[in-house]
Amino acid sequence: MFDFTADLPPPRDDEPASLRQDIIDELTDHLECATKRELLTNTTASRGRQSPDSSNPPDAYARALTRFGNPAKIARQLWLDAMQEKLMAQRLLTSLSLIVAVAALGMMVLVWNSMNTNQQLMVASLDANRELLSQLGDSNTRLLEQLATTQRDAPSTPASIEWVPCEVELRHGSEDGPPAAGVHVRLTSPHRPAGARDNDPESLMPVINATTDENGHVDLGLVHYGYYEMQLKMPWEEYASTDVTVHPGKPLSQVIVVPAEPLRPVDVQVRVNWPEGFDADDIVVACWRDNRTRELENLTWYSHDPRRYDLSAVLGPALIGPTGEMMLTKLVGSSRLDLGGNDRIKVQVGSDEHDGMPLDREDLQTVDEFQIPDAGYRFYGISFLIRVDARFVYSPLSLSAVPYAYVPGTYLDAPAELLTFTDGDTTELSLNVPSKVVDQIKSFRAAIEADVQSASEKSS
Amino acid sequence: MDTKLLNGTLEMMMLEVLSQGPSYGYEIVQTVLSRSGGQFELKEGSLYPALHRLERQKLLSSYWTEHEGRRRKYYKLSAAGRKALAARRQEWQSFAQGVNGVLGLDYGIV
Repeated sequence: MFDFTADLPPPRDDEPASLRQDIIDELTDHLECATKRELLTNTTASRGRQSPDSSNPPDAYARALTRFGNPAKIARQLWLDAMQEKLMAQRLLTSLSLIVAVAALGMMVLVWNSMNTNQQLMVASLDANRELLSQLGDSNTRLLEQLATTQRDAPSTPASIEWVPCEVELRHGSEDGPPAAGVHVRLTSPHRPAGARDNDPESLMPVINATTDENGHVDLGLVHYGYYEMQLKMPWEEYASTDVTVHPGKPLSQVIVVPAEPLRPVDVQVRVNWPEGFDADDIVVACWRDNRTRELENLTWYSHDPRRYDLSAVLGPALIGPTGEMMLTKLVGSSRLDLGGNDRIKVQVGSDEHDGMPLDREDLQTVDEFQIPDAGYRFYGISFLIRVDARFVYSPLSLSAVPYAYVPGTYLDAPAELLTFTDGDTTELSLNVPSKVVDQIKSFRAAIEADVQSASEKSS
Repeated sequence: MDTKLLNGTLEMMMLEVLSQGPSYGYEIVQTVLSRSGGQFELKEGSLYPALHRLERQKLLSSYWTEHEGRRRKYYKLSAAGRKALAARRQEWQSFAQGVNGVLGLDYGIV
């Protein structure tokens, strides 16, 4: 049998399943029919010619095949005709894919070229900007130099009476004292709005800041006439201020006396001297410092002492019951006892632990709470043990104390007769309580006892 | 017979044969050969591509039958094929009439 598939292309996935077999079957049928006809035709003819091979089937098949031509080639042509549409579509798809790929590649090349170009432009732009900034910096420097030169030359101009030169000389202790070096001088308008910048361009006269040299001298430059405030700040954070008037056409040259040395720390012990036989257990004594200033040559000097609350008034609140027992609480500074409840007592502390005086402040926080042992338990008094260990930075010292007395549920402010005392370098201060204050305290105590008595009678 | 003349009329002759009823490749060859008085013997290399082409053009349809243990493919004329045959017959008559006129065959001139 003839192999019709000899010239057929390799099978394809998109080829119809029966295509090859259909072609083979059709051509085979044709060849079989032709062979059969050859047999019939030659059998009839051979009867006359007596040819021994004329009716031989293989010969007939061979002759039919010869007449057929090349069946394999025909089969291939039929297969190609059937697959022509798909083959063309595939070629078209392949061509399109190739075109798209080439286009994408071209686009990538274009983008890459564009990025390179942009990067080069950015680098060039950065270089240009740097160059421009450098030129601007140089230009600004030249302008500032010209401005400084103009300012320096201004005083020599006879016609300028609005701007006058000002200088200050600072001396320690007295006008003949040694020069005060390193003192910061600040000249500003007293009407200057708070928060305004020193170099506010809208201000006629900017704030001048300068520091004295080793000769205690400071040149404030040209100052527009007017009223100013001069602030002086010593290297140890002590400062003063004074008014300065600058007159038109009249240069200002002033000598100012400043403190010779910093304030000296003093350790202070406070002792409260109660009258003989007076029971002071239920008395609170609070101490605080006065404003720390000192006067020198008509100037008041203030101190920015970072240890403002060094006064350590350690109060030890204690609850005293009717049988004399004591319930000690924590040692706290700013404290009060809240006796408003019937069954609980709160110890509250202010945020300022060393103030010693915020007895009625609203920002008190409860730090301790006590349960009253039973309903009939009453307190007749509260004792605050006071110990004052103070370290002051001032000499002379100004110390004040106000006595307070408590009754359950509230506290009473004693008639505020300040017990003020001043002592120089004394490290141990005695606080003498006037008899008037003692009498008032006794009066409060009597009221407390009356309240306790009343409560006891009610409870019994 | 000149094959150039045959090629132009091959499809028309196959459509004409199939207009008589369904037939298969070898039978179509034999029918054309018989009806042409032995003048036109279609070659397989031209026959089957033409049959497949007409089938793709929907002028023919086909079906398979079983004959002596072999599969045989029959072709038959579709409605579209019938219209196409009529048009080609008309075309051929005009063409033949024109050629005959030029050759003087209609008037018995040789």
